[in-house]
Amino acid sequence: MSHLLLELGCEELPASFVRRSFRQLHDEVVSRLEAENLACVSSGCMGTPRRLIVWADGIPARQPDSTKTQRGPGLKAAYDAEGNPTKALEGFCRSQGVEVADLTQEGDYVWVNKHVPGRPAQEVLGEILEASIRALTFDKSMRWGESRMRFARPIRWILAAYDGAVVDFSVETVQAGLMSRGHRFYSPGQFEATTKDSLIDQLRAAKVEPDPEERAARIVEGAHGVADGKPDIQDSLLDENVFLTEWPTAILGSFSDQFMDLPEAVLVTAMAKHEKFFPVRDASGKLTPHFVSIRNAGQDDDVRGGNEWVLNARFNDAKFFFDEDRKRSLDDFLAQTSRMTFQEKLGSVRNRADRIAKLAGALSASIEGVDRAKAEKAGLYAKADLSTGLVNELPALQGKVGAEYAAREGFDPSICEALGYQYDLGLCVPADSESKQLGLCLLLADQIDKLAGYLGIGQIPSGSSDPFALRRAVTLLIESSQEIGLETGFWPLIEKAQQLYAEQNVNLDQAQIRKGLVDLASGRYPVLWKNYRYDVLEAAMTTDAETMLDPLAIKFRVEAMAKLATDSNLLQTISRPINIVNAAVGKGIDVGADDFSLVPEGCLDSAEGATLLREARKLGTVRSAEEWFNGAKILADPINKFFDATMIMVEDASVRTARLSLLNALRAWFEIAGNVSKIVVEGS
Amino acid sequence: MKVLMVTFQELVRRLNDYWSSQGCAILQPYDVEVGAGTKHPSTSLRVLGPEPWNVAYVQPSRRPADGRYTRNPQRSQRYYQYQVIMKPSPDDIVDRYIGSLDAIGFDTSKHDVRLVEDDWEDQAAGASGVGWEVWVDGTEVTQFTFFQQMGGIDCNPVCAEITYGPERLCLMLNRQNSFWTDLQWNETLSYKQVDFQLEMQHNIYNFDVADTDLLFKLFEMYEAESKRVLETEVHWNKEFGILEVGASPLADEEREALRAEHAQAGDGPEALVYPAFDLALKCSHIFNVLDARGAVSVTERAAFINRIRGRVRAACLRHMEQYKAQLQAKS
Repeated sequence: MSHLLLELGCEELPASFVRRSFRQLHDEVVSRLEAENLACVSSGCMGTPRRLIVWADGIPARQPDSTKTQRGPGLKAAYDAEGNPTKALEGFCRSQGVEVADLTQEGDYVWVNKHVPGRPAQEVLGEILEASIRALTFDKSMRWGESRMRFARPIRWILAAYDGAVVDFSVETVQAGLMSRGHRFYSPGQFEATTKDSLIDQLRAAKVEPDPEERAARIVEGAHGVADGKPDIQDSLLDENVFLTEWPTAILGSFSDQFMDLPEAVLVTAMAKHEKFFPVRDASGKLTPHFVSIRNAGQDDDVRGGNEWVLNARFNDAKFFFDEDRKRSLDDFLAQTSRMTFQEKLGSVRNRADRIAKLAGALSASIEGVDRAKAEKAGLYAKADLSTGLVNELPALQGKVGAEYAAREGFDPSICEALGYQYDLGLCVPADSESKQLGLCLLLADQIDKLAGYLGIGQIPSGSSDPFALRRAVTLLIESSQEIGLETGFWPLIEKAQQLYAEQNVNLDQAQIRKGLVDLASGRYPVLWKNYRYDVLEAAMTTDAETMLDPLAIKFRVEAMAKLATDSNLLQTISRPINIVNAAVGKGIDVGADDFSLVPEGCLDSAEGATLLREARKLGTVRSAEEWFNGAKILADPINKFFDATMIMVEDASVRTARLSLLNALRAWFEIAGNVSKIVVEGS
Repeated sequence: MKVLMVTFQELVRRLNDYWSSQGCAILQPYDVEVGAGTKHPSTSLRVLGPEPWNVAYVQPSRRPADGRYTRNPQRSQRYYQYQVIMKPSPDDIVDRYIGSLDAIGFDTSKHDVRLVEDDWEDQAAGASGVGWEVWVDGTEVTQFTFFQQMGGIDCNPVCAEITYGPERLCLMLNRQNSFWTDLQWNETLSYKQVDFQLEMQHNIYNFDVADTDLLFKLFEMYEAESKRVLETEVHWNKEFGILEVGASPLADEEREALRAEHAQAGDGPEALVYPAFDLALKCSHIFNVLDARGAVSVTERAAFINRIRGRVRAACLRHMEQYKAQLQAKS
């Protein structure tokens, strides 16, 4: 049957690790089987928080015999002048266990071809499985007891069977055997299994559903089965429950109506985020005072009672602060932020509100569909909720609480949406584009104010230390600049922010901001656009500060350089004028103007040069990587013909300068899209 | 009516009995203000070093910023933690822990016990661990950690650290809601009778009254003292086997031999680690009060945490000196 079964039993793995880990374990095993000439015919994997299961079928009983070729000493070292073997050659033969007569000669060396008998699979599998387990990587790993090994959580048992027999190996103190274990609480006993089918059957009998797809189906079906309305099953929460359980069943619980006037975000956060419960909605989508809990063990009434008890405690907490907050208005909260320090050198959160309001107002002109008055109002109240009791208690709800309180006071709906949206583009999907644009406007103003402030007082992230999340701020800036098509780049906005700080008597160091931003941006672009080659990114990013702080320009350059990198002929062609101009500049030779309209056509004294210049002058303003690339393609042929027919460095200075000026204008035009010399030609 | 209720005292007794039966020594709380049971030197210093260490104790814990003027029924600035340390962590430590839930009165066959990923880090102590928060029917009842680092030093071997919130466990077992209206210390005294006055008054002190200028000065003084104490030279007196202040009259080689002898006997290093550590704990508590008072800005915060970590790490490094010979022999 040549069937391999591996079950790695662990203490509860983090939910987010399980799927990745059983897949990685599978891939490690399969690729090692191949590398050892024991490739399987079919294979699979599954897992729970307590076990990673991998199986493979059709593994040969033993490795095929093979021939291993090894290089020996060089011929000169191997034989003396009379052609007799040297000591060195004899030593080599001894170490390889062969006779001199077995050797062959090829090139300048002697070679030995050794017959290597294949080993039985049973023997090789132990090494493969141990190496595969040790090869697993995790976002975070740990050590336990006296083990020196790092793993996600302690390993408790290993089941490893090949053709019904145990595969002999151990990892740290855990010896592989044939025993598996059931559910930690429902069926904690051990049982023997040697095939995948038998393991799965026995696991199911022991209340463990090993297949995550099956668990997901059980959860969804169970949740719909017990809920009166519609359980709100978000994919991420479903997945979390799938990997927090081995035997999931759904229970319906309830909470008191008195909590129903809490903001929906509070209810949903407590249920879904803190407790991993599914909220239940009615036909119109409104929350009902019910939830579905997915339990892994226990009896219905006891677990339900406990679930309701904890949710009640959480809601009580929130309600206390919500009721206190109700006694005050958003203006009160805004006023109170004057007592909250944003940063001691940068003033209070209240000072910040004034700056964000003005910045958002200024920004509104560059963002389609944003009303200036609304932008200013959203900016002013953006941080007011930081002084509310509810945000103090549930910081993750910043923005959401402000949105809720603003709605209660009758603020324009788009302002409320924008307040709720300001911290994260992906946080929620606003109902309409006006809210979305306003939210983006607010987000940009917020991050620009933050970056200008912190960088301007020298708070520059270094290494792993980025306490104010400035890297993330730059990422948000880049993403939202692209989203709204910000044509100016963000440097003018930073200058505006700096001016607003100055109006509050806070003086920031502009050179420091600029340098800090450029450094941060050059670190962020490669992370955001990691599908591009390193040399492409480098070519695009070798430029001045203003361009670096203009995500649209950088994106254009990256795309243009990526296209260029695929066409080595074109790259070679456009490198020629650039190299000649750079060399001439290096020697102090006048290279003339770098603009096609200023090239003295009459002095070129070259029909090919005139043709090239004519073609170049036809190129309009380049708006996309596509246009740039097509332009370069059009010029390629005339450039090659020009070089074929024309000497550049001629004696006559006016002719030489005219020709160099043509090349210089070409260089300038090509370099709009990047520093071409950084591109690495494939295969060279 | 209250016959079946589990009192606070009874819960602690059950935990003591259980962990005692697992081979843990039942220790007493530490007498310096600490933010958690982890800061008790029986955890913070003793998780380091190679010797086995199995202990359990209750530790009153102070977290000034967590105070709610007693208006939150389940949150206080001073509460209790029940702490278990087993070094090295036994292979079956999770099973043993689950046994403790049954021992204190949760029938784990009826409840939904979950181990949910939760890693822990105390920057000011240079300490970190990997493990779980344990949920019973959705309520976090325990922090379960495999201690990886203390004072920035890798723990080797690794211990298991189990921390329970006894107040909440009682409320859960009794299906009650409030420290102040429901919880009984024993059959006659309520938790409120024992701890309300302290809680209420400290809230006012922490949030409204504490003299921040004085506290900033105290921080500096305790920090300087911790440093001075740790740098104070001490040596083993050969005749009496006690530590003495000042340079040793012995020749280097002889002193080293004596030092190794005491280290072998478990007498500790030639340094005033415990006093220096206590003074670092004082800094930590003062910082926490200042933080609750809103007197520490975000940037200052990081700087204060670094200063505390500096003192804690220095003490931990000196503490490790006693194992030097042992660790060298091993490697």
